[in-house]
Amino acid sequence: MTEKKKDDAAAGIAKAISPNNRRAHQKAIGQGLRDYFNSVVSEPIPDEFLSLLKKMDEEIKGGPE
Amino acid sequence: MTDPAGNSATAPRAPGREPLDGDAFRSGLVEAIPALRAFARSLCGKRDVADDLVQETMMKGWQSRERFQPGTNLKAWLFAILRNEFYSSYRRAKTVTSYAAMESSKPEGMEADQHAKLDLTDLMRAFDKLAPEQKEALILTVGEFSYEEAAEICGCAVGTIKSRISRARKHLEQLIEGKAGRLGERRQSHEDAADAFLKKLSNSTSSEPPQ
Repeated sequence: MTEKKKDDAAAGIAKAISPNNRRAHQKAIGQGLRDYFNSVVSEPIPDEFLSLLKKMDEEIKGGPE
Repeated sequence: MTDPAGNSATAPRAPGREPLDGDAFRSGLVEAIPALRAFARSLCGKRDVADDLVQETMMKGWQSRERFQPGTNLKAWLFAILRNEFYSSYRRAKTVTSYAAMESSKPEGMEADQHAKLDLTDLMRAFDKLAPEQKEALILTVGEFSYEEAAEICGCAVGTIKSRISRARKHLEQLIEGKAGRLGERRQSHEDAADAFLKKLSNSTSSEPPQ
């Protein structure tokens, strides 16, 4: 099945879904996206960012000491 | 917010306002890193590509910090820079084959919780199929910003953001329901299958409280 047909089939299924379920599904999608976002936000900041910040610190101080 | 891209010299500073000093700007930048990484990863999919984009953004922001207007939203200003950087490399790379691989890769993340990974991975795989304009509208408003702020970051009308979000959500639902329908048992109706799938998703995601 082509992507287009798959999407059409999916649209057909979606049409058959009741408003109550639709709200629940949208809530689940919103929560899922939020959780994805938060999962990345809560990762520790990788070292390469810290060395970039160090460069900025040196610039603030007016050059490497 | 003024001239986030730093592309032109047309950004007048409000009179009488001194630019943020280096330290203040730096701490605002540090504070924004986690959210910038999340935004970048949702746009690019890949962790290393996204982190490179954030570092470019930080450099660009740092170099043009005198153009930032104190008292306005620094995080939004940085998000707008990231977005500009993303679209300029996206346009550049659109013709390059390696970018196609980047586009089709699934977003990385969610390694911590194996159970949540299965379901959220499906959601994010569907998310990855969206156009970048729809991705950013969803993620900006889910993460940090109001519709108005998202519109300002994207340089479009609030109504445009709202309609992109609504189309994106509809599209996501269709992709997920289509998938659930294909995965579901034959005797089960498509609706039941989609419902079960999304219930599983909301159970697995709500077990991890947002911070």
